[in-house]
Amino acid sequence: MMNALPSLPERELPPGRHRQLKEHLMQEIQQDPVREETPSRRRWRLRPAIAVPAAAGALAIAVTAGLMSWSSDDSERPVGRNGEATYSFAPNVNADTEGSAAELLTQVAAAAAGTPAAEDIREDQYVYIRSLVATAPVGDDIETELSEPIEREEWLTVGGADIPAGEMGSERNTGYDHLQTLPTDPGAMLEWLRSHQDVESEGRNYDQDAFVLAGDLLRAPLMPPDVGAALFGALARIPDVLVVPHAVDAAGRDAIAVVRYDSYNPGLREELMFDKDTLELIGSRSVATQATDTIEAGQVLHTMAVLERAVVDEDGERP
Amino acid sequence: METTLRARIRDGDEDAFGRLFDAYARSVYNHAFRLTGDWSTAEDIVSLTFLEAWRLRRRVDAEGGSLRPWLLGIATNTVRNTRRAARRHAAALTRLPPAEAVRDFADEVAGRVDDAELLAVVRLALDSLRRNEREVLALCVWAELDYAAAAQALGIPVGTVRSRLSRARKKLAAAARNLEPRHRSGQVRDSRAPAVRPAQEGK
Repeated sequence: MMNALPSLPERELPPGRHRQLKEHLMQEIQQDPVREETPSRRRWRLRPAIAVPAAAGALAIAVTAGLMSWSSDDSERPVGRNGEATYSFAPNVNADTEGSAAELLTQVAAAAAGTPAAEDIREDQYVYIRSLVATAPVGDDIETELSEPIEREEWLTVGGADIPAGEMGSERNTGYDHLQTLPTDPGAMLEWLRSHQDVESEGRNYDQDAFVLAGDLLRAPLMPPDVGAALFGALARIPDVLVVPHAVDAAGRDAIAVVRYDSYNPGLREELMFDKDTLELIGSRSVATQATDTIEAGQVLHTMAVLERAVVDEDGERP
Repeated sequence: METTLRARIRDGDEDAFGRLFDAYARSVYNHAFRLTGDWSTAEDIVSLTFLEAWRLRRRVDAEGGSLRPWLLGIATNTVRNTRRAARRHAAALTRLPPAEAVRDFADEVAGRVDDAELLAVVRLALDSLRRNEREVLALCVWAELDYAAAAQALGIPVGTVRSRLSRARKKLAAAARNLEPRHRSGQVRDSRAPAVRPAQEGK
């Protein structure tokens, strides 16, 4: 087993140096109390505008800045304005859900189980994915507006990243080989999701963590049907996953979505979008559910729709 | 309460900065060493990081968790742009007491064995990784930030953190394999410090 990344021992500052450096700091800040950065002249940004990524985490960080405290009581989420549902706007947000997604997800799982498995694929092949992606910049002093959908072509290795099992990040490995090692039973999958998390710290919400991890894995370039079915089945068992019956994806399609209010990041809803007829996973989006100075409730902050997916032999080869 | 500390930091409360220094100077010191491979540079980075933190205090959100990721992000940027930060705080640096030339001798000796291994790991990362890969490695693996905190510290998306870390792991593992015969032979065993790779003596 590779173990190239041990934890490193920490060292104290040399004796007496901690106190010296602290005294120096205290003197400097007392001498110079006004030399702080003024908001009007920000040239050096510690935290630049974050182009909202597909993953929930970074988006959440960017957005949280502007949000106030929030209660888990649904009634305290104000309903967003009405309007036309588009790829960039979800009308009546917070009043657009229709109860538990358990039943829908069970049907989605059954549909996924029935799709044919990829045959004779090799690790050195590529998964070609053509998608439409739109992203809104989120950050201090930045107007948040979703971009036009951009067509994106990707060639992702079938094998995925080579992360040794048990190392940080290995649970999110979307390589086909890794996915094939995952449970194929929904109950076992849920248990697996709950036991494989990034961070073991206090105050985690294991339902939210499991929802996010399942969503990350479901974005894999290529999914073994039985594992995909188990992931959807596991999602069906996570509490507070809701249905949004009308959600327009980046390609303008009227999709059905399953969502979960992000327990870490009030004001955000991560959504998986499905084709209404085939119940195939066709995309995902993040929706703001609370207004901030620069964001309207119902605004879509990131959206992605898969248009085409195929296994090819060469990097750059189109099917 | 962390929220209160954040609010006080934001408001420029000097006592709160003192507490912040006590709590995290060590983290910043070790993080800076891992990015530079040099303990005395790391000392300077500690000072510059907290001066920068003072300058940037208004950007701290009143709500949120530990300020450690924020400080490590500033430290990372300070390492990246040391000269710029030093120019900005030139006057303050002239008032910085020089490090003592002679330090506690017993402490030095005790630290030496661990240090040889520690330095070997850090050197390997310095030699084999790009700067942005090294930063992600230092934050996620060595400083043990989660992906989201590392993404926030660096101002990059979580997905980028993941992919850089994955690349860093691969390159470092390959570099460790290449170096192993030369580095391992004749090195002190029984060290508490973890080796670049698990010891495989006898193979």
